[in-house]
Amino acid sequence: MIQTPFPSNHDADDLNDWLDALVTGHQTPPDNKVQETAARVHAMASATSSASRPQGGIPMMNATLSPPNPGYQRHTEASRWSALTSAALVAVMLISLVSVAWWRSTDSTTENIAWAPQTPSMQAITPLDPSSAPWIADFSAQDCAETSGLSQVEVDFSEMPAAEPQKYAVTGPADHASAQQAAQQYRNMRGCDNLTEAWAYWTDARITWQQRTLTDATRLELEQLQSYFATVHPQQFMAVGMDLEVDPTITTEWEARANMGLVGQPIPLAAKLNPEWGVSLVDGRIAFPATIMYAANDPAIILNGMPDEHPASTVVIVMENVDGTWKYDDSLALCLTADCSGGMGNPIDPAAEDWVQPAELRGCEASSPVQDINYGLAGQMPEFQDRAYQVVGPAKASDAAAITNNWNACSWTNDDSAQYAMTELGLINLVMVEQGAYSDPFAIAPYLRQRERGTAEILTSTPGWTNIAVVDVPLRTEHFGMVWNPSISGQTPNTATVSTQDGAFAPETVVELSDGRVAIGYTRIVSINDRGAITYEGNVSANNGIGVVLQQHGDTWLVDELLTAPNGVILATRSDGWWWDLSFDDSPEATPEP
Amino acid sequence: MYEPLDNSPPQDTSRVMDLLEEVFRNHRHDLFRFCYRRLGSVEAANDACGRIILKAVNSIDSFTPHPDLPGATMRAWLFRIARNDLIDHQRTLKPVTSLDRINHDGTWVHNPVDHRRGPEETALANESERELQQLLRQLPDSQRSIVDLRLAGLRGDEIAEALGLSLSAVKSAQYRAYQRLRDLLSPDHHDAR
Repeated sequence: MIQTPFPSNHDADDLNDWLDALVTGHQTPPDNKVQETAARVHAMASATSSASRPQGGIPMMNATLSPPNPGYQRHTEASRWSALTSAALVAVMLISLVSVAWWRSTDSTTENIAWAPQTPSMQAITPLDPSSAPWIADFSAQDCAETSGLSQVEVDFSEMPAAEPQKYAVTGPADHASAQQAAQQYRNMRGCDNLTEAWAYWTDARITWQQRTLTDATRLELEQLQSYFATVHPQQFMAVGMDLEVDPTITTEWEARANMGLVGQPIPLAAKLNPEWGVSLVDGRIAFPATIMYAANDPAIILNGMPDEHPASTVVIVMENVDGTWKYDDSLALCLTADCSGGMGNPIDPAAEDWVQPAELRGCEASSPVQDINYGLAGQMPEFQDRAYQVVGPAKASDAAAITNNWNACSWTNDDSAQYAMTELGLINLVMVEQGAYSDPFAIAPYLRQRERGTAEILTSTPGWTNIAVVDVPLRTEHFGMVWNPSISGQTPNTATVSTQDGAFAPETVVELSDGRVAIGYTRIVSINDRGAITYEGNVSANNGIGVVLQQHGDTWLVDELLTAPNGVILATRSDGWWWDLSFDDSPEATPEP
Repeated sequence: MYEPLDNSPPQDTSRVMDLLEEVFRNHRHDLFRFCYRRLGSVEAANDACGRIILKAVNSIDSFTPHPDLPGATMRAWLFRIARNDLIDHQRTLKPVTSLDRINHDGTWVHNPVDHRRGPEETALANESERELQQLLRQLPDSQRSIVDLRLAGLRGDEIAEALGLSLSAVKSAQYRAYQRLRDLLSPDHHDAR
């Protein structure tokens, strides 16, 4: 078991006082590691949270709240929130990189935490002037003045010849005039907020629609385009602009960081297309990598110069000239600095390996296995003894994967209990053990079986629990309730995200535990068409481990537990299935028998 | 810095409603972020905030600030409603989808596509919030709730009020939470990964 020292009252009081001061704006410099951590986490949150705030005016809560009137409130409040959040979305994303950069910058040593004065590493920066570089200006309705031709390339993908793969080979920098025109047309389109339709082309729609147009030749050209941007320009995809329109929340954030001595990486404000970086593709289209904008008056820029980190991935906007008008044609999410060397690898052929069949297609066999997560076998198992997850070797149950896959498939059909079993573990424990009487999510039934966290952590962090399998099947027609067709956007917004279409239990992940049960990891299944699959195959860092534990009961194997762990590191579930004490005394003492 | 008009007894419904409006106006961002971090999607957080406000308005009579309870502020009360709403809402979710569309903390994997974003912004999206959420997910929920509420700007006594715990219990769990975060952020931890 993992023992965590119980904090002294003094330490806990100190931290609480310090945090109280922090949240009330009277912060003092941290004077120990825990306070430093708290400052760091809060600064991270501030970087992301300020992005959640709306830009510009806030059209909400100007009216006085009325006394209770459900019929009235139900509409007005929802619309207010809608207004709030829709205005906030752009900023959400633009701030996002800063924490990543900060995270990375503080990754190497604890002493590098950013409230320490940063060593200036001034670089020669020539801030761009909007008067001479209009492309750095915010997209606005004024850009919408010119509306002719503001549409994406009209292509009937269904008639697109499969034998004619898209071309992404770079022939060189685009000519200046064409790049200016194309970038301006994109700006016009953005200014008109005319992207809804354009989203149809997001994430390689041209590639994914015609499944087989993703030939080796196309893939190589995409990789060439990726390499071109990654090796030639990546640090250049950042720019500093003067007189940028900065939202007050950003300036507040700057001030807060400066006041806290947290001047580290600057805050990205926007992503724009710099015509200078437009490149011509072999088929005449022009591709623009997004350029991240920072403000010249960002304290971090003033103090430290340009950020140390450049984006790990970016989006490339592809414009095509159709009858003299530049039109938005495609978006490509490209990997710049992440490990993209793995390539696509050899996808799994479902015809050869049945287990990767999507659950919906596998169907639910009549003799579907039954889960025993309600501890029907409790009589055979000690309830007050730690449940160990010590792996002792390959499983004796060679058919465990098939059983589990069938169980999973049954959850798609009419097995309500199996569906319910798909909730996360802690909730299952509470619901099943307490038979629905879970008035407090922190309450743990005293007779809940305990688990040995140490071995469970090891088990859930095994690679088999976070695998990604790339399968040579097209994207299914349904995902997040969306139907895949050319008018629906793709699933992978950037190369750091793999859209797992489904999951299945691979036979090779089955292991036997010391108590005779077997455990089997949940492998995410990713379509070969997913750009994330192309660039991130094998990168499991973002996955939480999921698996199922089976127990033999007579001749039958029953699904006994679902386990999950964030990033395969620590078991900590929402409803504290792994923790014992309501009063937060999580010292791992055995639960006393009632 | 906003100081809520908390601990004075309400004069009448109108005054309390004014107070609620003020509290909400000053903490709407915090409330939204609190929901967003818990739910993982803008849409879900949006809906949750709507529900929370409605609940607050409809149950305004139940708010009775007590001069002897320093944490019994309207802000704490609002976040208590929020927390309970999120828990209740998550319980109602009946998953009918594959395992990994449910995050380990019980939230839904958010839809990665947001049609209101431009593609280039989307390319920059998610990473930071995801990093933070991943970090927080590695806390047990009892501790995560405290950190979430801290990040929402609540004081320790308000967190205790919102969670229905004693201040000492909050302090203890809070300390453990940040200890854990310290470990998670340490280079050794990253190397081990």
